Amino acid sequence: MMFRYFYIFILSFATVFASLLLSGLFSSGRPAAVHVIYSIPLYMCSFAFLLTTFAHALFSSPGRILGRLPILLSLSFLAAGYWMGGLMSYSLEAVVTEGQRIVMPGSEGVFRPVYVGKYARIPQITLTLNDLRPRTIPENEEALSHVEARFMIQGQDGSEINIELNSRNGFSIKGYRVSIKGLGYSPRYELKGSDGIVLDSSFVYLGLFPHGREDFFRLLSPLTYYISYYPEAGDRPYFNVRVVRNRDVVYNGQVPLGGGFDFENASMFFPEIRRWTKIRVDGNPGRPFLAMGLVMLLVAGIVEFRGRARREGGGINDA
Amino acid sequence: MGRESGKTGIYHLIAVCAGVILAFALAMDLAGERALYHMRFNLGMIDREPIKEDLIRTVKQFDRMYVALFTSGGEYANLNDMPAANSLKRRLVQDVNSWILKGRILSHDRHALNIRKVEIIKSDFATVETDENWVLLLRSRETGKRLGSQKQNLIKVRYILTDKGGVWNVLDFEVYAPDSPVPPLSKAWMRGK
Repeated sequence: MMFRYFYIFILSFATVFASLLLSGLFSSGRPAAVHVIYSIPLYMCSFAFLLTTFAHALFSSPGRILGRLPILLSLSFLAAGYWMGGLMSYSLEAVVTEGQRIVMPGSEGVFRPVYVGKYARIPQITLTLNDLRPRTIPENEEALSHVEARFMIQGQDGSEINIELNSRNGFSIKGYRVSIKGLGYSPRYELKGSDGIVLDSSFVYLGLFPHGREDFFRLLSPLTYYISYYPEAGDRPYFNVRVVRNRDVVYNGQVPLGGGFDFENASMFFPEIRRWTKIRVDGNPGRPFLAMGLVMLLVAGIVEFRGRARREGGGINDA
Repeated sequence: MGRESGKTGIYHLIAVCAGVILAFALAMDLAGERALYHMRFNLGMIDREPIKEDLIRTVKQFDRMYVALFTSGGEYANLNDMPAANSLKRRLVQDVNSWILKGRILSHDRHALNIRKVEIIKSDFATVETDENWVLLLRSRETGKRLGSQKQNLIKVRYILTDKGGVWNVLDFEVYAPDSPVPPLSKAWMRGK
């Protein structure tokens, strides 16, 4: 009986604790679900639950331990899958532009870790985004339906694989999963001094989709560059550009793609623009154990249910 | 039998209550010292009008100190009192310094500030949208004489504010032309851009 109260206590605690954290009731925002699922209190709950189950099987009805073995094994697999997930899984995100090649895990700032377990083994791969195509819904060309992409993935051993994926479905290969999400534009700017020499040039990834949506970037100066992009406008796509120096609007006008504008003894040009998407690489070595544990639990549950039904049916007949 | 099942029911209830209480206590402890405030805000138990007044006061104080910073041409003694994030203060100081290097002061005079909209998005994140009329005048830092003519700037501004330990600070401000619509706030701000 004591075991039952302890089960109830653990389940109540785990359910309420996870719900409170996921709801963000005590904070100003919601944490990522993965950080809640793999938190220390929930680890301890899973450990306590498993320990209690084994103790219950050993001490409450030791004679029936063989009959309880399938359930004990399935719970062990589930626990192992959960712990492995927490300690060894990883999820990394990066923004990648058409034609760009990125290395994982690579240098800092390229891939942003969403979650990396303490003992995670991140594969060393090189990803090249060869092609990116937005697909809009037929009724509204500004509403994004999904994004399609072609990647080339090169492993550390030099093997290459070309994959096609879209933002609705990921692609699983060699123990990890690749998925994409979202779309934006990366214009390349060229900042020139009054003498025409290029001072700085780079791609800058901005949230410029749907078309007309504004985003901004800053360089090493007090100036802020606000930009929106209209690719389908007439003969030539153009940008709406507004350059602001704190409260002073220094420039406000239209700039065609490939063109430029003058401001404050300098000029800026936008020679080209590319599309970007966010790529996510996930890996969880605990997944096979979780799957195995669920299947075994289902089978054990059916066997237990049928065994009980037979016992109760035999009792009635004997009477 | 009835008493036994009654006792069992009570013990079940105690087990559930103990689990729930421990979960609440641990979740609040992990959330930090403002957990109760966030809970009351998220449940709609806090009057938002005083918060809106506080936000407007913060924006006006920020504007006053902004004007003093530029017009004084490099007096940073009161910079700590400016209700602004350090990254924003650095940008303003950088601008002031760039004028000082040229021997100039860009004095600011605000002729109008109309609060258009105050929006409290989260318990520690808010925006204030204004219509503003600024007059900018370049002066010599040495003599104080006017250099060139005044420039009038009619602008729309969206201030982005965060609450740190009960004090609102301006994290950044976005400037728009008067005839441009103010677009929806970028989600990157909420993720901590």
